[in-house]
Amino acid sequence: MSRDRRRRIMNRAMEVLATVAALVAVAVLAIVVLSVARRGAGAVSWDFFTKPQALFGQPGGGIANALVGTALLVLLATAIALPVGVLTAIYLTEFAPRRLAVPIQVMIDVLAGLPTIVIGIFVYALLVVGHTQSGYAGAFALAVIMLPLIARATQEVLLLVPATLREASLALGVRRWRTVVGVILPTSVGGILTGTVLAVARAAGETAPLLFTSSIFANTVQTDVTKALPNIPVLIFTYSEQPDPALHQQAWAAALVLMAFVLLASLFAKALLARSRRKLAR
Amino acid sequence: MAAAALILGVGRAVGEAIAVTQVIGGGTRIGWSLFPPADTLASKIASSYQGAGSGLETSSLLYLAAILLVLGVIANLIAQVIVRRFDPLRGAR
Repeated sequence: MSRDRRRRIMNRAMEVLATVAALVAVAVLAIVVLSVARRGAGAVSWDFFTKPQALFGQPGGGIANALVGTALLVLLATAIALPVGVLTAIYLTEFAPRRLAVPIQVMIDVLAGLPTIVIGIFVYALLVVGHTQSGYAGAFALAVIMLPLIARATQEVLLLVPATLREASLALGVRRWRTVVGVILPTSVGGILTGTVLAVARAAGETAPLLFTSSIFANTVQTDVTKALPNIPVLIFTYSEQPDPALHQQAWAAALVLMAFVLLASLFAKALLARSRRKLAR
Repeated sequence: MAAAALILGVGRAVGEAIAVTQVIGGGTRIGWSLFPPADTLASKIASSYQGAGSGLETSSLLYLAAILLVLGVIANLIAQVIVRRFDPLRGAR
């Protein structure tokens, strides 16, 4: 066999391997989506969304309390993480000297990579031990997870703001903070929103941080954040450990709802990003 | 870069709590077989969520988390060092 031919075959083989790997990655997602949909679709009904969890041992019931609780938790978490994240990004891209910006950047990236259960137990030690589980503890844990995501996304879009805009504003004698508030933020609001939506989608599905902070909850609709708030991820986790097959099906259905939300949110974020990219490119 | 991705991936897997807890079964025996129930650092913490009764129990959970934290920080720092060799500023101006 000539050397040329061998190289050709090798090239072809590696190409096929890479394609197969890509297909496997897509197939995993497809199998997860399909199996959750197949097992969960049967339990999705109007009652499933509007009724709270059934009392222990009783049939029926839904996930209304968990839906409300997750919405509240994520809302609170966003309210904490969004301002801190955006301000962090503004500091890093607009104000920080390089010898500070680099280590802060490293730390934010490390925070983003920490196991979420560690963050959960950190907040547990901070806010729950000696008190009780509460919605605000859960929201705080979720906020810690959202913070680096929002900061990173905001930073990326701040860096996309054309230098000419900044320079034009400064040339008019506008002060730096005024430039940030009046020129840079309005230009990048689309990208910040995208990052926030993605962070919300991520936080809505996080189980580990809530396990220690907001997992022992009532099966009625709960809006008091000083008490543990019912939430979808922990509901799925606890139902899946129960022996009752009806609860298993509800867990699948809740997983389907959560997955649909995350999928829609991601698509929405993609569309938002494309839109703000186009605007920035003009 | 691929090394950084690998390290980050391993870091994610070591710290993954819920997905592992649901299938690992929770066992305390240490053995070479992959088939009996077992536990990872993260799954042990997650499966104790019903609340730690005593102070010692709480401390033990926090100790497990501390080990995970150190592993996580080390893995992420190494990955950062590798990434920064290619892109020293990475986001900062």
